[in-house]
Amino acid sequence: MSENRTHLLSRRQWLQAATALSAIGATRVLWPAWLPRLAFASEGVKGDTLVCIFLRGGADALNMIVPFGDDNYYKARPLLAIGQPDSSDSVKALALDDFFGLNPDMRPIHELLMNGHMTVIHAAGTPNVSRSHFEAMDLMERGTNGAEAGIGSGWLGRHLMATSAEGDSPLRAIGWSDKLPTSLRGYVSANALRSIADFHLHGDTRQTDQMAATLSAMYQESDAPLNLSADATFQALELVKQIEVDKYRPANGARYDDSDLGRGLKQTAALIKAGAGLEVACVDHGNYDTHVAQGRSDGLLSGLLISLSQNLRAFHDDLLDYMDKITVVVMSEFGRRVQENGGGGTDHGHGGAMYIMSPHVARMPVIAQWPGLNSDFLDNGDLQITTDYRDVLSELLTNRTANTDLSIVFPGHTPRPVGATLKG
Amino acid sequence: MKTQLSRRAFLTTLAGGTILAASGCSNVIDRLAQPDLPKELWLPSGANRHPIAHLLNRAAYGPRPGQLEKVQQLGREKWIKQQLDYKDIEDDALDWRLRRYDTLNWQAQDLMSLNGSDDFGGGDKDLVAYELAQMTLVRAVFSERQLYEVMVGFWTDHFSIYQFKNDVLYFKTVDDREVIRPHALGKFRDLLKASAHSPAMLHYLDNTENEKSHPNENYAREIMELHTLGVHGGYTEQDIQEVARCLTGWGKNDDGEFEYHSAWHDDGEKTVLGHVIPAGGGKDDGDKVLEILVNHPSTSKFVCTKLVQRFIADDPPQNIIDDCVTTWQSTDGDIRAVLRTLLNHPDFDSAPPKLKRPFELMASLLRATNANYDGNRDLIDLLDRMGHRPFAWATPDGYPDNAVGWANNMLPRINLALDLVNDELSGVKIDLWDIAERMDSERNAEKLLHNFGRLVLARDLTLNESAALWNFATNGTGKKPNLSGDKGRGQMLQTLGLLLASPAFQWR
Repeated sequence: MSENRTHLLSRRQWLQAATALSAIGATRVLWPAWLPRLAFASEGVKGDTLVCIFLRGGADALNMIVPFGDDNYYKARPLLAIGQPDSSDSVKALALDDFFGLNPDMRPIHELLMNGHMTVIHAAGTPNVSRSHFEAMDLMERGTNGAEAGIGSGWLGRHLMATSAEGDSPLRAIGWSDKLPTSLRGYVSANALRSIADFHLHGDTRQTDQMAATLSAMYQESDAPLNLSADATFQALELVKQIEVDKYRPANGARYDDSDLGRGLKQTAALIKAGAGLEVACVDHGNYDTHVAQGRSDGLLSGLLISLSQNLRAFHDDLLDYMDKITVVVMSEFGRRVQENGGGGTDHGHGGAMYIMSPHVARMPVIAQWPGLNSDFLDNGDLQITTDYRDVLSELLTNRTANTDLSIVFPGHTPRPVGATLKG
Repeated sequence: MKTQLSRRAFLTTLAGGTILAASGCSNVIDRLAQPDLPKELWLPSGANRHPIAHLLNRAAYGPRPGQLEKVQQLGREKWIKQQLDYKDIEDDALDWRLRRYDTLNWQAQDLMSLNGSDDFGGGDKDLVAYELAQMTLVRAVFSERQLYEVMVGFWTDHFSIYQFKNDVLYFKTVDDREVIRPHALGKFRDLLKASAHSPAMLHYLDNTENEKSHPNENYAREIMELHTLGVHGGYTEQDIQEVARCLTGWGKNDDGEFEYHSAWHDDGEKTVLGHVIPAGGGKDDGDKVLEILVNHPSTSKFVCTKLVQRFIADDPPQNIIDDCVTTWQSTDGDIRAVLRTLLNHPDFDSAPPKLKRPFELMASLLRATNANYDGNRDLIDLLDRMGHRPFAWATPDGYPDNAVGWANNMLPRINLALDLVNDELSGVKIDLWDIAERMDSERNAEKLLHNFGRLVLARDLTLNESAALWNFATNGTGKKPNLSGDKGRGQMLQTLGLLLASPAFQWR
């Protein structure tokens, strides 16, 4: 990858070049049209930019990271199982090691997994036994196992609070959706954006600036935390106005698709390259609730996996020169039942998988204390959880961000090392 | 009790066409049901918010134009008393508005029959879930029984049930009607008992699966942690297991009604919070548990703390909690008595700011502008995007009621007010010029700004507010907008929108 790096100017180089050139009035020549000339310092970011992708609906980890070395997998899924890598099956896993293989629809990330740019933690998830989507998602996003009621904030919200400092970017935390993801609750400057273009004041568009100035003047005198929150909002509006994301062109031939995930990742990439001070971005993907017609290479899951892996790869390639300071984590509220159901699908299960993309991961495609799929080892018919999702996230925050106090991020939880993310 | 329209009866009526005809008339009904404004609006002045406005922001969903004067004349104590005797308050206009919702009075059995069927041409589950949420917003905006609605909201959060877990939504409609609403201003004991017999609650918290050979502790845990004692209320894991045993067999039947399954019940001896419950008690075991929980001193402290947090401050003052607990204990948990203590408390008027949650912000905006809202789904979707759709908090602890939980994502809060004045909220109509005339301000922009400020903030604008807003109104020129022309009127409308989007309106 290093040969590519020389072809790309870093943000800092851009700034230096721009400063030098602007003195002679030639800035516009070199500056990409979409990239705002911000005084805003990317130096403000205190660790990696964290991108959290949530696979909604309970993604079937067993058909994504296939335990082809476990006979019970094939016994439990006569119709849906993905073939062993060296089998004659038309749909066969791409070997990751001698036990796990990757669903062939996820081929775009195979190379990343094999080369130490990505790793999977299997049999991971929340120890809470809820098999209700919403309850499980909610608990996971709030970073609690349910024992601590009244935690209205999310784990990312608390992480952002714990690491906030003067001069933080107003675009420090974004959820790319209509509504603020639960994980970002609690941090006053977090914003929900459907798209950068949609983030604007309503009302008479000819007077937007005057309106923002009027509101800003009034909010400055408001009680906390409203003054802080509003201040961040007006700054974000100002910043967003300068970014023309329509004109953004991904680098290195990267191609995002037109899904929520593709659009979210593309805009995240644009903000990162613009040095907008983004620290946390949340994107949702899909409806992974494949009770029926899940299929192998032709069902509901296939299309989702193609989109997921294509967009992950696009993001990686697009940001090749920036990945050193980016960590992507992918999770879902739970995995699916080991035994396939009578409708060609799978029902709600327990253990799932988490994916981390970063050059600073263990050089292991799959990290798992594999509990086994023998019925004796199942948790009510489901894959057991041997790694608490909070352990994965705690390690990630410790090694990749400036957070030194995890007790407020995951209250009541004592994290154990997973060995997935590395410092440096 | 109103007669309840069965599904069959409803379909018959539908076939007769009367409901279709009626739905075409809903605009007319809305107009007839819209509250009258006084010819002249009384406008409070002074640097501090008028205390009655403070009361109406906390104990109601914000003042309507003209309401302040009425409550002032009546006297605050009388108003509180009236509001507590809510059944005596006439609410016919509201009832008319609620007629458009078909499923509110259905029995669980009828609601369940919608499952999977598609008689209405569009998602039946949606219909049930939306109608309950729409009703809740319409009531908050239009009901005369404001304190009652606020308390229904409080208990809805306290006994929070997530509508979208499995089939819970069919039972939640019944829970709202037969558990929360009948007891919202009654005795806490009756409310807790009704909730413990509610199929919605038992289903939501998995007690319908609580069987002696496979005990499910979910409801047993939450009834102590969230409904009665509070997390530090002095129970142990052992108590949770014992309460779960007492509640084995409490569930529902196929018609969606409460049913006790004796075959599922663990009939051995149990010990709950030090009380021995002898073997062979059957369903009584659960009833005894409820009695133990209601009488436990932690319950009054926990619930009173939450009430003070709702009405007074995120960080509830101990002296007010103590006074409420004293009342609770001397009245056997009479919610009305506790509210009387709370709302008449000498420290009530000096309570620190409380941030409106999106639902309260929306309801108070519509009230403050005498908006006509046709009860449509779009505002529910908007609340959903703001993170505060009624009955949609996934976990049993209910929506947070503090500033930290809501102070982010400000843009939608600001845009809500701007959309309102720009006629961009679907199904919502306001007429600020009508209000202007009633303040004798329709011809004078400066007077209009200051009077509208007094109307919606119940105080004079601060120097900062009036400078910022007037600067906007005049485009920085200091030249008054001419209110006889469209341009000047348009500019003033935007200015008033900014006033409604201002920080002062974000606080309860």
